[in-house]
Amino acid sequence: MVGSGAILTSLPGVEAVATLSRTQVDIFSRLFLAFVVLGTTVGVVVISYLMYNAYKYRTDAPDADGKYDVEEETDDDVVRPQLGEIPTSAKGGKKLFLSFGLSAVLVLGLIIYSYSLLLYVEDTGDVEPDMEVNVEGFQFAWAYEYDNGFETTGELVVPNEEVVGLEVSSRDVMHNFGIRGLRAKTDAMPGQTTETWFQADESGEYQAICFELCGSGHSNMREEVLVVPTSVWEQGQENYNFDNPDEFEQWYDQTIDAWKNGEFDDQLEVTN
Amino acid sequence: MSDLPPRSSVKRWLVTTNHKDVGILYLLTSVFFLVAAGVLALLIRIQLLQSGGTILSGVGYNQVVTAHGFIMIFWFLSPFAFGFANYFVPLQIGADDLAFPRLNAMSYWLYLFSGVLVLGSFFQGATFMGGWTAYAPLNVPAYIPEFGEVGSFATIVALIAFVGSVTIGSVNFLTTIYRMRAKGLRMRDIPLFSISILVTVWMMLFAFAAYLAALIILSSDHLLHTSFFALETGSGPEATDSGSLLWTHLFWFFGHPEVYIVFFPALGALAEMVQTFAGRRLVGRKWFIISMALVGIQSFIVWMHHMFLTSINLEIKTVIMVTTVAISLPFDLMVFSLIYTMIKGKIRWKTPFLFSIGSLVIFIIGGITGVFLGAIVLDYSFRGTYWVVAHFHYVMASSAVILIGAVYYWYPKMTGKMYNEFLGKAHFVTSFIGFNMLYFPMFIVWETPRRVFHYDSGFTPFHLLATAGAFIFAGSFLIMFYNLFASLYSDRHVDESPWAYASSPEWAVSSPPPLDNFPGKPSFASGKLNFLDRAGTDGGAKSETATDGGVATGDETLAPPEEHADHASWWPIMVSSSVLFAGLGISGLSVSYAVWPFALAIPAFIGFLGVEGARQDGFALIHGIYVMVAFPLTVALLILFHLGIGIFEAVGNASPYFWVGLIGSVWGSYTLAGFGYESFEVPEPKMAEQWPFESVENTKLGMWAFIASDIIVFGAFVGAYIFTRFEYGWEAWWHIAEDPSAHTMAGQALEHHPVLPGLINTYLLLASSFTVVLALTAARHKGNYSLGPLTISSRQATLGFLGMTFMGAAGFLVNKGIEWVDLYLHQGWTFGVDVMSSTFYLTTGMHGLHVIIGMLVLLFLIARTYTGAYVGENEDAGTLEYFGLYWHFVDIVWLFLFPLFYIL
Ligand SMILES: [Cu+2]
Ligand SMILES: [Cu+2]
Repeated sequence: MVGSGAILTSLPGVEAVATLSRTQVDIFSRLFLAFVVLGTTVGVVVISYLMYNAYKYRTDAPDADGKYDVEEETDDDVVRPQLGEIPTSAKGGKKLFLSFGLSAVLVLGLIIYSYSLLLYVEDTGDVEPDMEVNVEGFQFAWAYEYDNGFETTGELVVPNEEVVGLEVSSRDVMHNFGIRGLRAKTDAMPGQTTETWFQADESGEYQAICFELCGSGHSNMREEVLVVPTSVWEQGQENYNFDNPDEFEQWYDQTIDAWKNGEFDDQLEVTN
Repeated sequence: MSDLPPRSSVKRWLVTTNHKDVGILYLLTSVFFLVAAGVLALLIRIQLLQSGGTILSGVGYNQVVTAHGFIMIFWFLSPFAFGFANYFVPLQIGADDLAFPRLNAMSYWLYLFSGVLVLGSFFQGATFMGGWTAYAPLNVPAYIPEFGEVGSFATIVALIAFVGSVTIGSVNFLTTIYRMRAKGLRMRDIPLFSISILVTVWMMLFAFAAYLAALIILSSDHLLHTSFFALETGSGPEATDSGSLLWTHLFWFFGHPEVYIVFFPALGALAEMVQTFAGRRLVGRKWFIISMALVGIQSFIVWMHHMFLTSINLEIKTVIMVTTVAISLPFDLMVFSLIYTMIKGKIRWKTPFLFSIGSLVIFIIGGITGVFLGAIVLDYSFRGTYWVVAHFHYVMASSAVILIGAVYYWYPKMTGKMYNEFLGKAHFVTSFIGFNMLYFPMFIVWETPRRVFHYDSGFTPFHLLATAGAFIFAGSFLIMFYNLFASLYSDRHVDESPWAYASSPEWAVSSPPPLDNFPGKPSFASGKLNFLDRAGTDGGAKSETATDGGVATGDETLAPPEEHADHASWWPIMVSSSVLFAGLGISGLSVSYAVWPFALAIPAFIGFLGVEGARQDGFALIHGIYVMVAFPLTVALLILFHLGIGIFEAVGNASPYFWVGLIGSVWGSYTLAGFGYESFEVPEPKMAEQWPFESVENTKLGMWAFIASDIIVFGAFVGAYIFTRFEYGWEAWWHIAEDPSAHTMAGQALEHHPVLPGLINTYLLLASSFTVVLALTAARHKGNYSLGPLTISSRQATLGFLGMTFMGAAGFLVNKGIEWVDLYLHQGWTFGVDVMSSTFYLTTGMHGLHVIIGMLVLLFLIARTYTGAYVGENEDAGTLEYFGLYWHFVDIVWLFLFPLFYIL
């Protein structure tokens, strides 16, 4: 349904797309930023407090008898561990629980926040993806099948700003299909189908990389993903019937050639 | 049994069963594997000097990455921690040794030889190259390049041997900690390091059992060509629909607890070091312990967080996210507890403390970056990237860093010498800088895909930095090796303890501690550590051998007289070496040869039972019978072998692997018989704190623990069966097997799968369970039985019932044999024709193997009963009872398998 889906976007369906106000990229960036800021703060505070205490209570008073690394004192108000004692706790339990509670609240808050975003990513509501692509991993490349029936093992070509649904599986061993710049990623397992989606904000060249060790060629298992500007896609739809796999193939081949000849260079926003 | 030679003798280290010796062997061996895996790590870093790689091919890189993971996690981290556990747990709880010293030595040798196998796999073409996670179906021969098949399987066999070592060790530590504590030392009172080991071995017992099941399933796909993960079709291999997901479940059910298994011993050591060097008792000790226990339990319900991107559904993901987040909270508490312990302390910045605080910093960073992964949306993007790599290295390596600190902490205790403080500090500084240079840049360039040597050109400087850090980190260990070696020859002697405020009992004895650990029987009955006189050693006189550090000795009660304990045996190393040979052999066996080395070992075992029995117990009729039976049985097997492959062609064509396997398994038969007959004195603990197992002997508790882990093994098999069956459709299952079109070759479909053999076998096993109970009753019966005119001695009755049990088991096997011949040969329903046959043959076959092992043990028990053991006033029938436990377990397993595989 490539063609009709794309046409719908320019007509009443535009609303449907508009409800997907956040792409996976947006969600990731926002959440990642929140975690980095909070994580760094917590880390700095805790580590500083640790170092501060370790430094403040340092001692190097030598043992008068030279037996131990330090003089053993038992006369101050702090009860010190003694050799052969049955172990007990030191005081400070209240403070312990206070900080434990604080950290629990912090972690729970973060997780609830991220869970709401998960629900969004997992369930795009009633919005149908504008197009669907079946992806099948094999050693060591990707095979794509568009919903018009066109198949290729070369580049994935999709339009900018449209929601692309992916159904991912594998022909042989386990792979993991990920398009890095678009934050789409899912396992490719034989006999199982997994789903994910993406929506590019910027046209350009991206890479579909395998993120699961799959054999000798794993390190080289990456292919180009070409997100063409909306204008290019729409122009293609005017000249070709995208519901017909043969016509779509013509356009596809032409587009790839044009891209390789550098004809898109000034139109693409993201390049490798 | 032989005498224990001095430490300067090489023989000492081969025969010793003393926990301190074994601990040192563990430590040295694991450091060797650290170096091996460290070299592999450096190869990885060299490969990553530039995008596209430098020195390794794709296949080579995969091997290096895989072996690095396997060796670091299994052959370095855990055994390193267990080196300390071996040395210090008995000392900390007031035990003379572990509960089963010979088994402890066997754990060590199995560990060593499994490591030899895994390193050897590099020279068998190629080692395993599918990552330490070994995801299916890349882990089966169909998807492994041919030159790597043998080495890959050798790696799997090595892992199985390693799991054997771990399981024996877990059983041993559990029994020791529960049953051999000094009087007055409650479970909650044992030092934190020992508590952490207790939690660890509990996790090990169950997690490694699941892993064992996974490895056995994988081995069966390799050796017997079953089709759990991939089906061999006419047009090439085809992954099964269920296999990939099945493996991730099995693996991560083990894999997540494994993270804590690796980390907990270090955490315990960290708590002790912080306590000692802060001169303050741990804040919230009780909560610290509860946290550990909680994490230990919870670790078994979070595994699917490694599978967020597989096809599991949102509901499950949500549950797992909650349990995952919940499991991070106890760690917060533990970290805060350690920090608060330092307040008002008298902190000495000695080397062990430097490593402690350094590792805390590292762990905090590792923990925070781990919370990132708990947020599923972030995890989606982090999956398979260097964020994961950096995170788990921060966590895992913080465990290594703690344990390095523990080396410095306990070095004076183990050697009696002080290390060089300046060099120790220099080691810390270089390693800490190197570590962070190595791993922190990985967070910055986290978008580098994992196990890939291609990355964006912009990342190059960071990868260069990481490689430089790796070399600094590695180099820092040279300082340590020099320091520890040179200090051995220094004159910096230490007495009991060089550290003020050290509180656990190991610091109350001399350094290094004497062979039997304590100057007297340790007891906490008075509220603190005392050493009671060992009555009978010096006439029962009370002596005041006061140790320093406020430990008083002398108590009103006298310890019971000590029995003589043995400390040396050749059998552990010999039994384990047979595993090396058999394992090496099995790695290269082709399917047609697969069973023969092991089948032929059975008559050999029976013969050796006769020979060794005659040697140890004096010749008796039964020994003669065993030897006489062994010969015709061997001949019969050889005839079968001839019918199967043709003996002359077979002998001519057999690969060297066949001969190595045969030698290994026959050697195993001999050594196991020898191990069984050796009289090795280990006194049952007396005057010990044994809650909650006061009324159970050591061996029985050990048997319970072993059976508990075996339950998990079978649980995993049954789970795998049910999972697979659901994936194919519960009802459709039988139709697949019976549908000819579902099979590539004609005649492979199942015509009928009769229920009757299974039913008969159920009755046979139940009856044999009953007779084994009767055998025990007879053994404990006083006097003779009179049956009318007949008088039967209780020994004869015991023998009779044991014999009947044996016959019941034999009937079970014969019946099963007939069934299998029909299914396999006549109906052509071979191991690998479909997933269903694979689950059927493997699961019931594993049960059959348990029956065979039970029968071999029965033969041993019959011989021993015949020559005077177990029955009568002065004999202990315990061994029969323990065997009975095992046998009931085998029967109960069948009660589950029969309906699952025959009726439903
Ligand atoms: Cu891959
Ligand atoms: Cu995990």
